[in-house]
Amino acid sequence: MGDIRKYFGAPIKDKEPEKPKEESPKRKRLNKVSSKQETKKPKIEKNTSKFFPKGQSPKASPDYASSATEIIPSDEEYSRPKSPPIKTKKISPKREPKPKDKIDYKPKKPAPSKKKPKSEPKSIPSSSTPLQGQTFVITGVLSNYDRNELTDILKSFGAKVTGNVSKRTSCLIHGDKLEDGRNFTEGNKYKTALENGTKIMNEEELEHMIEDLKGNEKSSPVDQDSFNAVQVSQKPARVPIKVSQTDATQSLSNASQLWVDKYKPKTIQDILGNNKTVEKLWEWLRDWEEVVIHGNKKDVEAFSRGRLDLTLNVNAKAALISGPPGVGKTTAARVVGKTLDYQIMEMNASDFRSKKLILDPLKASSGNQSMTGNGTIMKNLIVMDEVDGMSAGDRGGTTALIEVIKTTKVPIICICNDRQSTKLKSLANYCYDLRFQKPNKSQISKRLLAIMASEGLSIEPNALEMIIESSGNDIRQTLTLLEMWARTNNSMNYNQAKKGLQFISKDSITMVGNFDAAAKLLNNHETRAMSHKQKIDLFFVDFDLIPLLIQENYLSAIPQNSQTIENMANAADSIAFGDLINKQIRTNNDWTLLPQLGQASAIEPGALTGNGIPFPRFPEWFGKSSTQKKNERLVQELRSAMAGHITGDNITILSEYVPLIYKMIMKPIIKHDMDGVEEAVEIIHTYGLNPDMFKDHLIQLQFDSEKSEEEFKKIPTKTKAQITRVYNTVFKSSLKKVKKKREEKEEKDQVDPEFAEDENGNEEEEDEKEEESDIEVKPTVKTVKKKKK
Amino acid sequence: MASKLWVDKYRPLTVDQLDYHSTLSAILERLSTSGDLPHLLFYGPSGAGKKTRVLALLNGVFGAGVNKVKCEVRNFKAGTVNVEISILQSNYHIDMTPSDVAHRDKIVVQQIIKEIGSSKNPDQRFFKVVILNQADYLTDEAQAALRRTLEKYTATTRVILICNSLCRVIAPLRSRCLSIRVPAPSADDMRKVLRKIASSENLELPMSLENKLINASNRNIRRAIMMMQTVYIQNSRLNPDASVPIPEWEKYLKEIATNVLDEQTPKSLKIVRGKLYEVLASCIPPTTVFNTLCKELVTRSDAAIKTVVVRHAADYELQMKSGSKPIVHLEAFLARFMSVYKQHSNRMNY
Repeated sequence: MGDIRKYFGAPIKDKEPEKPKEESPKRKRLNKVSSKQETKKPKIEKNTSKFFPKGQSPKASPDYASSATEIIPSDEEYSRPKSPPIKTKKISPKREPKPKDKIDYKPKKPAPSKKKPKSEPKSIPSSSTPLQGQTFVITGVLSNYDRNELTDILKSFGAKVTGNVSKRTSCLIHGDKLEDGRNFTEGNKYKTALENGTKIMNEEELEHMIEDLKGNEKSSPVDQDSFNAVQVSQKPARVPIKVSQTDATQSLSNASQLWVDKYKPKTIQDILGNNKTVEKLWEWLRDWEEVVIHGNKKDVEAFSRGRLDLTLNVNAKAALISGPPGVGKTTAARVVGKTLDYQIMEMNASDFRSKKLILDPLKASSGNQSMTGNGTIMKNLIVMDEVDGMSAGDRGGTTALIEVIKTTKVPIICICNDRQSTKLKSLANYCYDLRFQKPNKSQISKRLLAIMASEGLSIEPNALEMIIESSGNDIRQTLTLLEMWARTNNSMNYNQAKKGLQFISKDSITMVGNFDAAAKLLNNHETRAMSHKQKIDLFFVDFDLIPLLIQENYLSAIPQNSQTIENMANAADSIAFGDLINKQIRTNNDWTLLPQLGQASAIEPGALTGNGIPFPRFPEWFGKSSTQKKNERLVQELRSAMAGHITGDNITILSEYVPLIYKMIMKPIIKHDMDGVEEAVEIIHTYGLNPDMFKDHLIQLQFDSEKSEEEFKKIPTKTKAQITRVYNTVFKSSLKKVKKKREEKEEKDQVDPEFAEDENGNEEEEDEKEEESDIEVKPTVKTVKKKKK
Repeated sequence: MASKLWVDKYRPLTVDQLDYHSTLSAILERLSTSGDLPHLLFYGPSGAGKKTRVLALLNGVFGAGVNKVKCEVRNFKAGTVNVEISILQSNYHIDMTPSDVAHRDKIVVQQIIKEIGSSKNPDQRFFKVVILNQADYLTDEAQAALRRTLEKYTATTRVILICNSLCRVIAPLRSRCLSIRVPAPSADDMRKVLRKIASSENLELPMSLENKLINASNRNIRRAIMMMQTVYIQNSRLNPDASVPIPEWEKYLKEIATNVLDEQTPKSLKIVRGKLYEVLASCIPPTTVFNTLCKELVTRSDAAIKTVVVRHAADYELQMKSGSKPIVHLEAFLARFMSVYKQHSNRMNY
């Protein structure tokens, strides 16, 4: 058993690797707390003082403070929760369990004491999670293990596997070669590990270790049992989270209540995460009456850069809480309302919320107070849940709600998931914008561990974290999952969790982003273990974008080997075929072809390349195709402007007229500067263009438009202005002429001389006449254009 | 100095000014003097003189009035969407390119012809002419719509279709029109025209430059004249040693071909893709890109794989036409070419 130690020789001593990186500070504190009970109490006080009571704190304005202090003590429920703040929840201050038993939800973790890790080693192997607290990093290609596989193995022993070597890393496992074929000693991870003095292990050593660990596991069934026994015996000692719950064991038998409800936060402190936001909500509601009814607006600069910053809009009559599902938005609204003595009126998506139906009851209640049985007057609080769900059926609902908010005499809290939804744009302007974030993994796992302990379910922290992760940090869902698990089991380890999750997890695809999905598809390490269904699901994350992402990135993911070029060609073929399918789908609305599209445009190229890419690049296609559209428009505009003077289709114009006319215009300007302007304008004019079109269209449409733009920039500003000026005089005179001509209804041929002067004096007579007809046309064209504008 | 490009400045305006295809000119002459016109379908390669001949014909029928045109933007309602198209109008004819509005061209075609068909021409002539450019780019629906309209409004309207290739015009439409082929001018024809222009400009056209122009322009008279003028602008004379300017995008495509031939790796394909995007973004039609690339690659690769490459190019181009993103097909073609080329050169090395 002691063997294991040898893999964590010297470096560990100073590293103190027990705690996983991210959460280590908190955990450390926890561990300390659990071992030394005394330290805990001051902490609680700190927490509570921080939480509660900004209202009571001297900082708050005296007006509010007084009103707040009146409210708060009157609320029994609220005053109670002062006791256990989240972080220390699992250890009740009231019923003190024996400190030593405390640690047990990570039962056999090495002793937390930093100074003498050596004294503890024997406890390590006795656990089912002998690597608890160790952090591993894997580098290079391992011959016998797939990276994910190994990660799972290590995790199942309780270790943490991270991506980068840091001071906290306990051990670096390396393969002989890096992914790009260099020797592992050249890798950065290896170098860092050497610098840090981290334990470095090659594959052989690793296998030994794993064998040892497996051997230990088998040899220690007794430990396992005794561990469970300890777990069970402890159970009653735990204090349930729910303060009103008196006895956890009793509640265990009481199956009628779901855990989600049973452990629903009853006080502000109970709410997990979003402490600041909840506090803000509490403050807003506390001061609501003062601000809205008595008009003592808070002096807050809610404008940033000239625009109303809704997140600072504390004087609003309504609050808008937004955030992903399962983070406790509704709960927060209820709890806050309750603590501040409000009677809560809730409307959610299950209610019909058309304009009329919102206006009537809300308008009525928004001016009312309600009376309770014992005669006390309760203030009302309206909670509009799921406001982003107000849709077709609730026509006019949002506007009605805004109307109500404008005139309300009671506070209104609106709750939604999608803050960015267009439906909320107008509503948000009348609200105090509060955004809830997902609480992080460690926050949740701490709370859940406590709950699990009180429910008598022993669970490995690693397993718990994986479940939390798989539900996307959704507390509600995780709790439901665990409850389901607890109906049939009383413990859970990493492997069980992993297995179980395949059946019960939240659809993991919903948590994968477009880019991640594309990256996965282009990585054979990831896709190898996946079923076809899973791969196609990755495609369905975004069936528009994924094919484009694949197309953009597959070339970067081709491994170098003899098959490279062939694979590349086949992948390109497949993508091209995908394009055909896509066309069919779009033109015939034949959406049944989508899976085939996924196969051709995502899975197949992914499988043919599959070397993985660090991060997918955004498809160039979008930018290029919009440039193309723009240029197409420019060519068309150019063609319709010049239509009377030239022949040829778009391509001819683009590749022949555009460069030549551009050269003809630029030449005199570059050569003679100001003196060349007239000549240039003449050309512009002859072809029915104008200086703006020259600047925009002709220059943009040059094949090397950057070069032409630069060339144009070099022209002195004065000259550019002159172009416009000269053009305008010519243009205006011809405009006048045309009008006159129309009035007099003269023969068209007579109106020329003036014009010819403008154009050019040196022209040969014959040419002049040949051109007459054309020249006359131009002003006409212009008038039409002008009118249009 | 003249403000017009030579191509436009020396464009023949009447049938008897036309420089080449004298038999065709004779037919046009007869048509214009007969006082009536059938529906016409002009086809031939770009730069052969189709439009010039159409306008010359109309000039013969209606007189110089057809050259007094004004430009107008018209709106059509198609269900809920507004279709906007700019048309060129004289008292006698309407000139437009329905394919500008892509798949909504049907509405334009129907509406315009109905509109003209139901109004009387103020002139003594009893019909008005509608010129439809790029008729081969009309959608099938639009072409189908034309069939009936052509017959229905014969009393007041004549349609002249202009297109490059007959094959994309549906047969029923072809049978309703008198098809007139305007072939590309021969080298001698072009020589004549170029010399005429040069002498009108009081310039001397050296033989060597003349030959270069004729070769490089691919029997496209418009391009030849424009090239000549470009040479003139760049050198202020028709320099016999001047290199003939080829379009920038063509140079760029040659560069792409060089890249492909130099290095057959994913990295190289990635670079090439970036360049292809550039070409496509500047509105060079993908088909043209395909043709140019294929020609370039075939001429520069070994005889043994030439046929394979051409076959692939044809396959991928066909595929592209039924797809929606040309870039992926171009890319697939080049990837396939790389594969073929590499395999071949590996084999050669053994």
